[in-house]
Amino acid sequence: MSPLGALGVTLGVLVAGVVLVGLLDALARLVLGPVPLETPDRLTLEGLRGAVRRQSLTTEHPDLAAWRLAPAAYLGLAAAGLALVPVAADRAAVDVEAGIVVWGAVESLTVIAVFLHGWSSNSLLPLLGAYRFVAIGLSVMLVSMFVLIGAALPAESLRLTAIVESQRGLWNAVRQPLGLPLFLLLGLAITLRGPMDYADSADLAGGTSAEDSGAPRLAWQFARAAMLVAFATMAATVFLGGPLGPLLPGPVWLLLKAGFVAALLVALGRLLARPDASRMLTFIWVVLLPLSFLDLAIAGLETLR
Amino acid sequence: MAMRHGQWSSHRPVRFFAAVGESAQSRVERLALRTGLQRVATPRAASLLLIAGGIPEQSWPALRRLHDQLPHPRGALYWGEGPPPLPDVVEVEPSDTPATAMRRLQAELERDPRASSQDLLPNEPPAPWQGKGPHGQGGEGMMGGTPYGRPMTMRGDELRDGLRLDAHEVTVGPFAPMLPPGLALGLRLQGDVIQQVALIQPPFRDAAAEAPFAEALDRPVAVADLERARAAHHLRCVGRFCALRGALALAARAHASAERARAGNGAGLGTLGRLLWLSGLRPGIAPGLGTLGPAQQGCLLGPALRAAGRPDDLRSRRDPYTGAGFAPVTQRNGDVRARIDQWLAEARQALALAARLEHQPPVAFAAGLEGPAGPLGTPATGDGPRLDLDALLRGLEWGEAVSVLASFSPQALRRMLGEADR
Repeated sequence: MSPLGALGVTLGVLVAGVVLVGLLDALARLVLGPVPLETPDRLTLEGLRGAVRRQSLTTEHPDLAAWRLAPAAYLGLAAAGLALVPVAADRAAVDVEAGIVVWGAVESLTVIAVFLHGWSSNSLLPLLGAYRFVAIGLSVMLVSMFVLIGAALPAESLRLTAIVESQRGLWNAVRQPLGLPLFLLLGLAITLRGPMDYADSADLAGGTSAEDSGAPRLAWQFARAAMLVAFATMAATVFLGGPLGPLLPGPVWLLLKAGFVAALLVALGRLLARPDASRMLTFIWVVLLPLSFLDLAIAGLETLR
Repeated sequence: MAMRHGQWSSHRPVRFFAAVGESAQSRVERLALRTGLQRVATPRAASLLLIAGGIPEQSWPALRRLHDQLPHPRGALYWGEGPPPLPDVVEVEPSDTPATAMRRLQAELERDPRASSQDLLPNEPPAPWQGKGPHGQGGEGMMGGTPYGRPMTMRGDELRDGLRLDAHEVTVGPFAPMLPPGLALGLRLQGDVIQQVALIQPPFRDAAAEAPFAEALDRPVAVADLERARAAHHLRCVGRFCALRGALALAARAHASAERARAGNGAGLGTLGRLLWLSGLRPGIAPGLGTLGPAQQGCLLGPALRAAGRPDDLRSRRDPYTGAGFAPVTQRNGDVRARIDQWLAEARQALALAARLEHQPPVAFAAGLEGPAGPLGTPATGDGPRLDLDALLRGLEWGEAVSVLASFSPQALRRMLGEADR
């Protein structure tokens, strides 16, 4: 695919995906019930024009360039992650040799984008959100790395199209049953949702986005939804066979599977409570990390068999 | 064209930040559940400032600062009694709902952004420059001091591991959405660990939470109504706590249960208790978090006291409760987990009592009765030792401290801090 074509496809899917995430959030609110005070606030098409017309306030002595750059970096990372996803069994917008490693880099750089967002506004609550996200984000990223290595083992390749191909007989979600649940926790973390939302949470009045207003606020919300789109498609690719499936065209299968993962994350984000940060950190190191080792061991044994 | 624009505007969500004053928390929560309105957690995300309930004069400067933090175009409404605390606000009668006025004001601002409410404070530092360093600092080296009246970070001993980290002093409240309305704290933080807490202002009075109970001190009321009000109060407290911890589905369920409890329907409370576990809310709270030391136990009241294992409840000495076989429920540990469990257990018990005492003639409790936040109308009210917030919150991380404060009802916290309203 030409670079321009890849860019066009990626951005098109991203925008459509963000609309879908907005609809899923609205549906979850409808089904699971409204609350008097919701953080972060809703991303709605109706609110788009109002947000753009609203003044963009700044704080006293912020690092304005970094503050404005953070949503762009977050969105850029989401787009980079999405571009790696194979839309057909043998085709991705950007099909690189070490695609899964590039996705790992996207995960890690997300920590920097979120920290930059909280730190740059020069304000207490956003800074606390930034601190907490780094502590949790880096830990859960370790878990993700082991899980992704496990997913790549059956393919004996780091290329995402090869990982898809290796699931033609059996999805990774089935032969590595711990992989997808552990990877979903990473998804909740990098999309700042529910039990892993230590950056933009209610106890910090919105955390890293507490000082955002107007268009920059909208940009951050958009980037957050875009990261969910990127994550959902990546999870569908690595664990659910991506575009593989009978009868329907590959992209439709990918859309259905990614939609399922996105809906699952949206629901989990509203259903599960956020533990105390120190308790979550202990849980990650004492429970989740050993589970990711076990997942890797299962994947290794399966490959050797 | 103007009409079409108005119609389109009327379907846009009205995002408002609520400055919750005296006795207004529950009605703001009910308002926020209305379709087309969205209460937001930061003034930066709001187009309207809703000032709900009476705001004591000492909080007016904070309210002015809050007003100026809303981005243009913005407007302000006052939904309370007495003179408005800010100039140029749209006034709404306390007995009316402000939803219509809010939608109208939003539509006006969209039609004419020049109608936006102007800044109330000058855009300048709160105090003159008094620093002494060459780079804007006021203390040692590049750190410390209070240039322009703002305390800068300064290294100090960290409580937990002895590292010398930057300590930062801030004031939070009285309109911070994660704290009880009115509560203002002066905090010294290192990272997100609280090093020192000073009480600046206790929570505002929440007479609405105790209204039916206060009424029962003066004239006969139906006991079933009192118990339904008690259950609704406790469930709303559970809902607020769940929302703070991000368990939005559980929070929605608790608030819906509170509304049903007001109508005497206690369906689903058992499920709510199980969901506290399944959602990870209860396991996610450290055991022992928020336990008061022995010297502090004397200031506990109502459900918080019973959560610490003390079966003190005026209902066990009042007819018709004694006739109905009332016995206080208690927990053992007196921590945050126990207080959440206590609210749920008491809500269930209150609804069972309401069903049992449904046909009981109205009763007056002139000698005092147990309100949702502790005893009312007894000489001992407000005479106990005061809660030491510094001792309670020092060494906790921010999220833990917020959870500890949310595990007391705002009115109970106010009374434990020494404010005796009746």
